[in-house]
Amino acid sequence: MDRTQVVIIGGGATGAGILWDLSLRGIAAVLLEKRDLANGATGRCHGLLHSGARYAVKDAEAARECLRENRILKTIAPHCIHDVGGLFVRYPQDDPAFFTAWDRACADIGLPTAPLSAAEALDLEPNLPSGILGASTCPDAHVDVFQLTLSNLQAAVARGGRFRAYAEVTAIERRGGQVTGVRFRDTLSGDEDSIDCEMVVNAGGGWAQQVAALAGLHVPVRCDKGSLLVLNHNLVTRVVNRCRKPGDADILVPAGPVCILGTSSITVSGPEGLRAETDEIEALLKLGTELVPCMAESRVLRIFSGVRPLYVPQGADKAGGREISRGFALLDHGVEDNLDGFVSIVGGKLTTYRLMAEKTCDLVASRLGVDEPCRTAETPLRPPTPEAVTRKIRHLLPAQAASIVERRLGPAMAQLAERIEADPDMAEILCECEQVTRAEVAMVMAVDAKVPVRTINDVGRRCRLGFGSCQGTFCGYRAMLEGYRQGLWPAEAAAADFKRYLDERWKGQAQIPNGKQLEQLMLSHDLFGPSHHFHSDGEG
Amino acid sequence: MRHTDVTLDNCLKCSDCNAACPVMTAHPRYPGPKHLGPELEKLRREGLPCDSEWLEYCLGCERCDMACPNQVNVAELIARAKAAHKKPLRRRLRDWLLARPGLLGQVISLAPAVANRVLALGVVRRLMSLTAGIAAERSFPAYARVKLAGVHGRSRGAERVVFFQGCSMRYNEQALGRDCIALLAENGIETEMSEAGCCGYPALANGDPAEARRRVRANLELLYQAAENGTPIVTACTSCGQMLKTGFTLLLGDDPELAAKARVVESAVRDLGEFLIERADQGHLSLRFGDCGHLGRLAYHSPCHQATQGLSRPWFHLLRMVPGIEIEDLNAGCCGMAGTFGFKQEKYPVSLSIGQRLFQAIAQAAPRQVVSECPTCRMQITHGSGVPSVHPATLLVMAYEQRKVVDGGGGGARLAS
Amino acid sequence: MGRQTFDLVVVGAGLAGLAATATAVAASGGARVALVHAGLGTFVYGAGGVADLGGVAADHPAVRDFRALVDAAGVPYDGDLGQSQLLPTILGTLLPVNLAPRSLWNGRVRSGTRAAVVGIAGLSAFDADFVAERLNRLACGCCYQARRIELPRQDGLPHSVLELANRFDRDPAFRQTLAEQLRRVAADYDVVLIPAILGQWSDAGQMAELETAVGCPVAEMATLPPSVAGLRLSNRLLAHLRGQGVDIFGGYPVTALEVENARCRGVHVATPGHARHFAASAVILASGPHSANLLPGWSGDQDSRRRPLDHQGRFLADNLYLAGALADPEARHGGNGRAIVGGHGAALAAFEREDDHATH
Repeated sequence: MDRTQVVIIGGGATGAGILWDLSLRGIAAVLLEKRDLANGATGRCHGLLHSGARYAVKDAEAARECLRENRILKTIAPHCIHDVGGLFVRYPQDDPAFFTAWDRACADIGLPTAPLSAAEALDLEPNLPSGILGASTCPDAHVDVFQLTLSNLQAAVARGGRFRAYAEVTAIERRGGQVTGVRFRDTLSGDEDSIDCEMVVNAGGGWAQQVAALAGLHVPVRCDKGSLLVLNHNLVTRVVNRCRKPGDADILVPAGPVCILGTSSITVSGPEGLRAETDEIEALLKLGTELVPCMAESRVLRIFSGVRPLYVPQGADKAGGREISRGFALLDHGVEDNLDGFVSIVGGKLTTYRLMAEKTCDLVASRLGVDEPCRTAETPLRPPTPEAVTRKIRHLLPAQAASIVERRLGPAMAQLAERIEADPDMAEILCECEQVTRAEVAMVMAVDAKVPVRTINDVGRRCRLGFGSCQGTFCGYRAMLEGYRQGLWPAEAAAADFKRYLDERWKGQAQIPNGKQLEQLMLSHDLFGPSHHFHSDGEG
Repeated sequence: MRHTDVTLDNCLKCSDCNAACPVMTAHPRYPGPKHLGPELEKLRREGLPCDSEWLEYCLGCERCDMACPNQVNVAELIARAKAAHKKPLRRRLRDWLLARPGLLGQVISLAPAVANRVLALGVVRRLMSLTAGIAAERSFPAYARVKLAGVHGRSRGAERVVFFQGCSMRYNEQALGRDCIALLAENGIETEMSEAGCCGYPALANGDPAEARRRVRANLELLYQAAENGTPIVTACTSCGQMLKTGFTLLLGDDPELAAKARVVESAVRDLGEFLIERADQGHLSLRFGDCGHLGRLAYHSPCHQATQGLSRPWFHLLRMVPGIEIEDLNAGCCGMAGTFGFKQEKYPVSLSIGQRLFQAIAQAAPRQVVSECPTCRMQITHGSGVPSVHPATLLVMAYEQRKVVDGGGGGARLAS
Repeated sequence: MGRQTFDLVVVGAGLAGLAATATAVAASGGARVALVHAGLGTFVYGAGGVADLGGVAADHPAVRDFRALVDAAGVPYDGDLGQSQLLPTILGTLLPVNLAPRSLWNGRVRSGTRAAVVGIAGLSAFDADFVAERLNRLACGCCYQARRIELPRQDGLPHSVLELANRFDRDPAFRQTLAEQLRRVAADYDVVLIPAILGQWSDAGQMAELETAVGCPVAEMATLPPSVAGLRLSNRLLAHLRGQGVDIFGGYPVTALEVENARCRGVHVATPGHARHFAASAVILASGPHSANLLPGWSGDQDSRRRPLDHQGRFLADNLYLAGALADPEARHGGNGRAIVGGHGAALAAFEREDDHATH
């Protein structure tokens, strides 16, 4: 029987942050995630590292919190952040009263902004519409959500924390009023297992309600669906916010080589089976075109939906999705429901994940009688990269591949260099859009990786393979073969996983109204259907 | 860069462009148009440091664009990116000069006799190779002092064309210029030799868009009035033609007023072969050709920038109208010269290697002369295969002359029915 | 606007357009034919195999003419229209086809044969072990064994299918090395299967030369794009048609058909500088499913002569014909057979006497 002190349920940024925080405090913990890391809201958002400017007018406290966390994360996780800066753009069709309110609110909070004339803003972002009235800068940034979650997990594992993907908790064991452990099932193999523990942390995000139900408790979470569009290249190089009362499709985030527009806001019954509706997509595109007119002709790569898990305290569930505070709630079920050792962390937003983890771990530590303070605000998630390693990689790889992998791997580039030096063929690029080398894919696939992979999709979440225009049509195949060569999977399992991978990718593209990605999708269908008799999507 | 051009988004990563790329056949490290064009462009727009050393190996032949099933302007993406590429000083100086064939021509033609003799000296060529990175194996074309200017072939009520000479004709091939004039005159057309200078293509190809912009800006003013009046602007050089049809918009399109003028000029431009074949199509080409059987076997090479203009070997068809001519269409790909590319010492081996397929086809066809309308293709063909090369206009003029000899001189143009 | 006149303009260089062009050249005897296309056809992404003739008989003239065309172009097909055969693929599956370019047809499943699946060190796009392992599980009566050869590298770089194909085209020493390497492997097998790398331009003669040197049939398996087998077919067919006098205008899309009084006068092509106008006595549109926007008023139906009909059942133009996936969405999935039959039919219709104006 496996034992640990704390079991965390949910492998989003919050769960990963908790694992890291506990590991830093010397508390033994296991994180169980029913799919792979960042599968829920974390992996299905803009990846916007808020400066707080978005909340300044409505909720100064939330804004201050964001600003603090924004600064902390830029210090402890610079490799996860594209510090591109943000603009709040004043469109002629929006309420000028909001512009002044926004200026005042930002000043009150101490949020550093600088006004730009329309001409200056257009000079920085030529794709903005020429009719804009002006803009202000703010310290918004893009955060690579997969990298952030992965880095927390890797840092935690290096400190003794444990992460298990594809481990779905099926029961929370209790003896009297005390949690004693969890049972879980491997969702890929079907194997059942269990862990004894002193405490369970429910970091299930959109699934927090279902997780609590396993302990017979009710955690009121409302799922608010947000759909987002991924555009094929950087239409803007800074985060572009529409300066108005927050609404649909008013944020465009440059996310590496692509950019992401979102979101919608629709209350749904649960976190599973999300799908963007046709009119929802059309509305997003229409609003996106107001933001940046050339979006009308730009290629949409993918559409995805996630849920904002909104905590709905008693009596407050009447208002619409956006009206509930984005603040988070930490529920000590020992106090609230007489179940000792069970804690739920609900609500919140990506930017404040570390703070949520800190508060949760403060509570967990005090319950466990551990007197270690939180150190995540000062401890870098990753040690610095030795200059010699960077130099070596720059020598071994083209400039663009080196600079991209530098951010992803940091000091681990030493192993990358070793692999390439041992076999120069490993420098070959498998994923062209994201410049991922065979060596990096092999590292991701290594059995001793800190956060191992089990599917091609997992590979993508580690190194962004398949995130570009081909959506895995070419590089997914190459990754499958690489996994086969690395002994990760035998031929049949490899082929079966590649089919699942294609299905999932095809699904993500099928709803796109704009014709360009449709061409890519048809190419993929033709290649794997009529041309190679490998897989068809059932359309005929 | 303003998002005026979204063809970047059209790329499906299918690699049809790579398959069509001549450089990929000849240089193992060349990453190919897909990578240098749409793939890196996304990363360049993201602001990442990107390798740029291979950009200057792009020939600008645009075969990638022709193969692309989704109309990605691959070559244009590469050409634009070339500007940001930093070259070592020696190559920078050389490319600065190669970007300005007009300047070179103006200087040399001050004292052409001396210059030609000096440029032909082995020691000078080795020196140029050492100091300026010019391939010692290449010989420079001879320069002449006289320039063609003014209106030629005047006759009452004649149609007129404005003739864009291009640097090669202006400084090295005045004889060809006179052939073109004669060819047009034979068809009752008077030729106004334009004062317009270099088309700007060499500057663009050498990563100097600022210079290219200066050239097209100047030419726009010189050509606009004629174009506005509906006078065709004709050129006998395919690369000039390609540039004149696209370069004004490419380089000046940001300015709405210039963009409008650019479109007027671009739409007036015709390749001379295109101009004549369309006249033939309408029955307006003089068919008073004499028998040219004495020319022996000929082989025709179509330059890359002919197909990129949306043309299908007009000169080949024109020559086939000449009785007695025996001509084979080689259809053997790119010659590898690519204007100034083949002059560069470090690119010389690649340039020749690309041309191998063509040289083999020439060897197999064993022609007495190779016919091609591009001046630098002809240079490469003669250099790589040892077979003399000629512009098709020269042959057509010979065919007209031949008829006059037979007719005992005299005889005006007779139009095709 | 520039203008040239043709007897027939074919739009699209997929197999439907190529078959139509070839048929027209053969049927018309000296007609001026233009082939206008905006880039290569989608068939280049595959192997060029032919299956599903869309219900026509196996001895249909379209098939006979197509085989004559590919023979003349130096990329002969083999096969049996009466019975489909299975070709192994790089994904370890079996693809049913009736006809395929000879180098691919060589790899068809034949019971009791021993086949070497040959990987090339440094070519990551193909994995012989993966292919052999999967094919053997299909128990098709053949025995597959993975083998590996080494080919000289350029600058120590990994290989790519295009690099290998270009070297096959250009370098006799490379061809010889490849043959020697394959011969060492071939001794124990009835056939050697390799990824398609045998040249973008090579013809049947070069293939035969290789096989003689290897000592047994050499079979190619199409790779994911770039698929050298498909590119070779496209390159050689286009070159062949050009040699036959066809004017090929590649790289620019047709932006409009000029239709006037139920007659198609020609097409507009978006060439640089000025759009060009190709006047034509007949036009065949074979430019794929996305060109329906060139046919305003089209109901989606066509008459027996492959002419697009409007919603009242009248043809849009009496000399405008459809072929390929635009006319027949199944052609997209049908393994090229429907494209060939469609292109052939459209070309014959275009040169038929126009005696059925009554339908208008």
